[in-house]
Amino acid sequence: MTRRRVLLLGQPSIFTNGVQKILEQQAEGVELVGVALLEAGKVDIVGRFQPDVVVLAGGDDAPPLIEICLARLLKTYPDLSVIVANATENTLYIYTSQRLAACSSDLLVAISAVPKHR
Amino acid sequence: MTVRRVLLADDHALFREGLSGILDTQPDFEIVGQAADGLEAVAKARVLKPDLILMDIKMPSCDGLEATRLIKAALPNVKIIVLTVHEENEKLFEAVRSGAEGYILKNTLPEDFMRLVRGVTEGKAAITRAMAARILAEFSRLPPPPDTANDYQPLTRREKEVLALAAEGATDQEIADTLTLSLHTVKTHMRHILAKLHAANRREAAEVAAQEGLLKH
Repeated sequence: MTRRRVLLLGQPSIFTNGVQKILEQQAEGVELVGVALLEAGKVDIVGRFQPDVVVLAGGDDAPPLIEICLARLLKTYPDLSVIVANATENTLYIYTSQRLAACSSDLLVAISAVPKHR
Repeated sequence: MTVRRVLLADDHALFREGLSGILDTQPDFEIVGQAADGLEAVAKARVLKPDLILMDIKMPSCDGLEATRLIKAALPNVKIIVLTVHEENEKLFEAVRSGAEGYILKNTLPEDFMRLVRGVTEGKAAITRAMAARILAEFSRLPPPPDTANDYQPLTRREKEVLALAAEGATDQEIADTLTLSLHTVKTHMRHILAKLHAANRREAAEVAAQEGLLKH
């Protein structure tokens, strides 16, 4: 199985530590290549670890910091996949970008692939 | 080494599984079960009889504070630590009133978390100093407890009439006939009288009422 290189960026907390344990202990398809502190201006750390995916983990007070990091990550590394997890919500937010030539069929396929909410 | 058996109760599956991963690496703790809501926590606590429960507050069907009350009523020796994102005083005080031995925020550092959890197993309270200060401030703000020697709630006019007859030895039916009330109403009055006078029976209620002069109009 191809293992995905994962970089965990988190606020120091039992939540982040728990996510780290899951990635270390349970994950067959995961190679945890690094764990670092979630800091607004420090997204260049991604270049050092070359991950396939970054997991951002934070507590209930983390959303503003996570939003800043997420925006900077996606802007600096457009092909990077980012998964956001926080201690408050039992929900994962997954951000991926895929670049396609701008033609109408791809646009329509891309729209049809998006999850329908209503 | 004593191994503490732990039940985890949290509807946030990722958090719960992560916590399980943290405790699994500690030789003195063993995860014996997990629950995704308060009712499941109560049911599993009864079956598994863990030493310690880590309990989230906000959960479906029955929240963690209610589950703590129910578990403490059935299993008073189980230690319960509330583990939550809520920092509000109201939740903290309610957790203390529910019988929890600890209140830990989910953004706590792992090393502090383990120190607090181990403390509970040694009979200490798992709260930070800041939380202890908040509890002390609340405690000092509360009015002193009433003097238990005479904290009886006043009786209503009807309750006095019912008790006066009971003190003379009248049965409920005789009281009902005398006061033109239904038997059910008399029994309800008598129940309220016993509660207000902290009395075990009508004879004791009559004695308390006589001593305290509660039958005077």
